Amino acid sequence: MKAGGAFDTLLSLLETRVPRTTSHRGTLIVDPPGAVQPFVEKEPRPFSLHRHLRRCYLQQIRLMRDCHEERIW
Amino acid sequence: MDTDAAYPVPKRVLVIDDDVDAARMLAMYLDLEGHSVQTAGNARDGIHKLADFDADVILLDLRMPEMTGFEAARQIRGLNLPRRPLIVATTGCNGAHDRSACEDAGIDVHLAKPLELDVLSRLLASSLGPQ
Repeated sequence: MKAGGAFDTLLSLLETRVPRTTSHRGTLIVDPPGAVQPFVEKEPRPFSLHRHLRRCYLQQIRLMRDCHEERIW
Repeated sequence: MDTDAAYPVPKRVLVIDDDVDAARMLAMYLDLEGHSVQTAGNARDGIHKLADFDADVILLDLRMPEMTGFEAARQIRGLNLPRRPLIVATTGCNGAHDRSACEDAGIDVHLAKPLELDVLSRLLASSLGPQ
């Protein structure tokens, strides 16, 4: 049996609105100061789906969640 | 893992797609359906994973850099796997030529993106499970 909460987890992921063009910038960290080869620590990349895919999957998952809830009630 | 009554036999599914978020989304959905899922961000990694992951079904993107899904399918069919996985092309390439190329490469099923998730679920439910 699917848990309703699982749909919500997936939906919340899909509802994350991040444009595909958003650049992923790292933070330059120099340690110790003056080090010859600084390393770049990247921030976690945000979840990002093509707008058309996201809209289409959102619609389908919402429908599934609604059907699931109707069966419960 | 819990399974829905409509899916009596959970499948082992490998998702190969260079769009890692699309693969992740599909993996989450299939996991929610009770299947065991692994993902790979390119064809080479996907083929490599088959050494340890005995997939029942492979969802394969066709347009990937370095190695296309067609080439990946050919290589997978050439592997000495314990059993023949169902290879499903998931792609925006929907022309007659693409479908014919899928057959030639050993791809069993062609699904257009964005996927109709209930069609995918029914396909997995009807495919053979672990043997």
